[in-house]
Amino acid sequence: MDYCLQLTQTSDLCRVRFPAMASTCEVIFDTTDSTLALALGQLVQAETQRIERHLSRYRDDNIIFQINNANGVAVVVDDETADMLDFAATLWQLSNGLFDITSGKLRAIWRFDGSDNVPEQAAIDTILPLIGWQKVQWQRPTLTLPAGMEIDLGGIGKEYAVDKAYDLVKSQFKDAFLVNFGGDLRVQGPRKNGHPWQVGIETVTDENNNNMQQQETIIDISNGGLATSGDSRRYLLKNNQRYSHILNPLTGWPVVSAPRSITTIAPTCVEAGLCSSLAMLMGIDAEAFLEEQNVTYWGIR
Amino acid sequence: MQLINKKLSFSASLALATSTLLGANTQVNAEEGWQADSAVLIYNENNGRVSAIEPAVNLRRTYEDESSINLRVVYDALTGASPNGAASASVAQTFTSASGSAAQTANAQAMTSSSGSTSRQVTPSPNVNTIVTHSYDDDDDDDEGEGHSTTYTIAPSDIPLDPSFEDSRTTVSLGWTKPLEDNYTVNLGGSYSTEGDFTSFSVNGAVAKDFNQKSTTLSAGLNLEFDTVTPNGGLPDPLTSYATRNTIGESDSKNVVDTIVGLTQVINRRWITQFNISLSQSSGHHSDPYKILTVADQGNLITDPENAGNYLYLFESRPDNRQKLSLYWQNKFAIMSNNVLDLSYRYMTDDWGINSHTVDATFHWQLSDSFYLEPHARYYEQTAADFYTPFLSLGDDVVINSGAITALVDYASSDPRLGAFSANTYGLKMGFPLSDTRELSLSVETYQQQDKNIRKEVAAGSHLDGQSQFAELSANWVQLGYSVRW
Amino acid sequence: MNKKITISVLTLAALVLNGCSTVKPWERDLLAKPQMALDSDPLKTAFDDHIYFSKEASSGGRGFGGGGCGCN
Repeated sequence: MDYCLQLTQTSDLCRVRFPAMASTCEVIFDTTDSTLALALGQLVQAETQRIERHLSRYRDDNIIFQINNANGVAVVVDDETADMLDFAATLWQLSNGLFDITSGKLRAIWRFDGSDNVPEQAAIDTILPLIGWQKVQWQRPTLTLPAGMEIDLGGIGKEYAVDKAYDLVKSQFKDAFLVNFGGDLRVQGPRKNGHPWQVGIETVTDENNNNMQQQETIIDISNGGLATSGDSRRYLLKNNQRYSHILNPLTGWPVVSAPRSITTIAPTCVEAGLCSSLAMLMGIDAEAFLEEQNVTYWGIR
Repeated sequence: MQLINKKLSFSASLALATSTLLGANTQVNAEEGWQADSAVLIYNENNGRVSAIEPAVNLRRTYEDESSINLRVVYDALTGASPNGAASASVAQTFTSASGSAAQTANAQAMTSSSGSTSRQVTPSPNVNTIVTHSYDDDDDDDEGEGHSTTYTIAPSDIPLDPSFEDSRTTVSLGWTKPLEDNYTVNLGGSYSTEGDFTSFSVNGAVAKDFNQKSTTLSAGLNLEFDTVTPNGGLPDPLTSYATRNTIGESDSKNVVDTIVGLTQVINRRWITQFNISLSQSSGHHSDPYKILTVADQGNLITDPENAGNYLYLFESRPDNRQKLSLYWQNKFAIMSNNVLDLSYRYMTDDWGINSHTVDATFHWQLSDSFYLEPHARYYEQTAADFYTPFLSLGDDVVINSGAITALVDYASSDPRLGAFSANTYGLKMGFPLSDTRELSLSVETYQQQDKNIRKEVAAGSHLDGQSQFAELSANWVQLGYSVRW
Repeated sequence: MNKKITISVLTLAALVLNGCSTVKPWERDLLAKPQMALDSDPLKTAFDDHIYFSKEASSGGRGFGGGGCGCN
């Protein structure tokens, strides 16, 4: 694990950066007190690394590993994991099965490396029986996963970490700040100069790395969470058919006609993240879904 | 979940699920809301002395800018017996407690008409404790007070207690706190309290400023209190005969100015300390209108020259001014993650000659999320006021010349609260946090005083020989509390 | 006597002010707990203070002397 933490001070801001959750994580403080920024940054880093250690599916020493290797045996989980599972269960229901933390298994056959390696239906058919939250027995705090199934909280982990970092800073810092973990962010504002935070949405590049949109979209945000779902770099291309990395757990296939990217704003980063990823899962109906829910969004097709 | 799905929109359901996931933190950014604390105190003194029941409610509204308003109402109902200040003697003593002015004449009548303790006290019957109550005008409009006259007889060697002690008191306090610019906080408040023979009104204000990222807080406050005492039966003339009951008016007042400066310092992650200096200047009527002193000649009770058939007792007399200086030092130490030791010390000195020390220790012992214990111990000791005396001596303090009573002292009181004593309190509080927002608690305390006065010598075989000169108090109280936030 | 005490107390206050470094806001996890509040149960404090006020010659110190009662 990389423990490096970078502190940058400008004329009116301090920024700390550290790598975690496969992204660059940063917190920008509307203060010139670099000692304070550093100390708070270290707190955020420690909390983020804790969440990563706790919920990552790439480790063999945490609760997720224990669950995924229980072989059909019931596992009693801790409070934080239980809260996540409750949340996942609710979202599974709300999304009619589109949001499913057991769908990670599909990644074993779907590798979105820009190649044309689209798997055979037969391969997908062998995986599908191991997917579906309805097959899981979840009676807080006990989780029983049928042998062979896996859960992956990666779909909400980063947004969750952003909100946790936000709460942590908020409790000890009275001025404006911005938490940004690889494009998923939460802000507290407005800044001392009276302005909101300005966030540029990452421009989507096409297959030839040309900017599809000439101008970067700048979003003014004073309060709340912002998250983007997109497939700018993770896709497959076969026979001119673009396969987005958003997989429908019901079919085992990538969502058809999904937007290239959806950015949403919500009170929290978790909500923003869920809204944008569910919109992506809706495919062609993404924008309609967001309109219906009255969600502020920016979509690129 | 189906219910949520149907009743709430997707985004509302998501918001609900998210707030559950992220916990209370996201919702309670500013701790805006209400808090209600309620409690009832049941207080009992041993040997049938005072008992009291006091319900109290404290309501606090906190706003988003961290300002708050606070309302507190306390009701206090007391009954029982309280030392009247007379010395216990080897003979029975009869007293007529304060009453409406009509009772002045009733006093003498009571002395002769109460069977069992007629005429002089020369033939005491052991354990006589006759109480005769005369009730005067029950008319509520009457502004002279309760209008009760009670005659009671105290058996030999018993501490003279006035059994008619009965009062109820209501206190209403309002407070307002607001954080201002530059780490200043201002606090304004007022309080009104009324009981049968006493009203009090006070206003107070305080300013605090935080320094060093709120590690240091300096505060200064001022409290002005205006009291009016309207004793039943009028204001007795100090150091004159209790049986004669000369009054010097219906009521009198007392004003108190309290100033306090304080320093609160966070020493480290586990230790916070507070230091206060306070000065209290009180002027006006301080004497207790119901407290008297025995006048003894070589330890023997003497006849009131103005009221044949009565022993001589004089109304007490206290100075018109009192200045108190208090130093208070409190420390709170966090031990492990949830336990806290609270240690405090107070020194008080006043110009009546009283010095006191108070040491208090409480340990908050968090046994689980839903249960904690707080054992508590307190030690208190005070020296006596210069004018404290268990009784007055004929010749030294009082002379009688051709039937006229003349006090040689300006001030005298036998009120045990002005004597020298130490006191121990032991208590235990049990707290039951029912949830993040509700808590139930029960605490029990036991209090015991020990006499520390120098014994005043009396002649062997006299009425006061071998008698107690100080009414040591022991008391117990129970408090049940319930708090809720929303 | 009084003078002596005041002076030693002021010295103490000065020590307290200078002798410690500032505790940073993010180190206030323990200090923020309700049981660390200087007066963690105000109603109980008020009840107890009132009892002592009516039975002893001293009052106040923590805050204002507390009065409003004919009991002393």
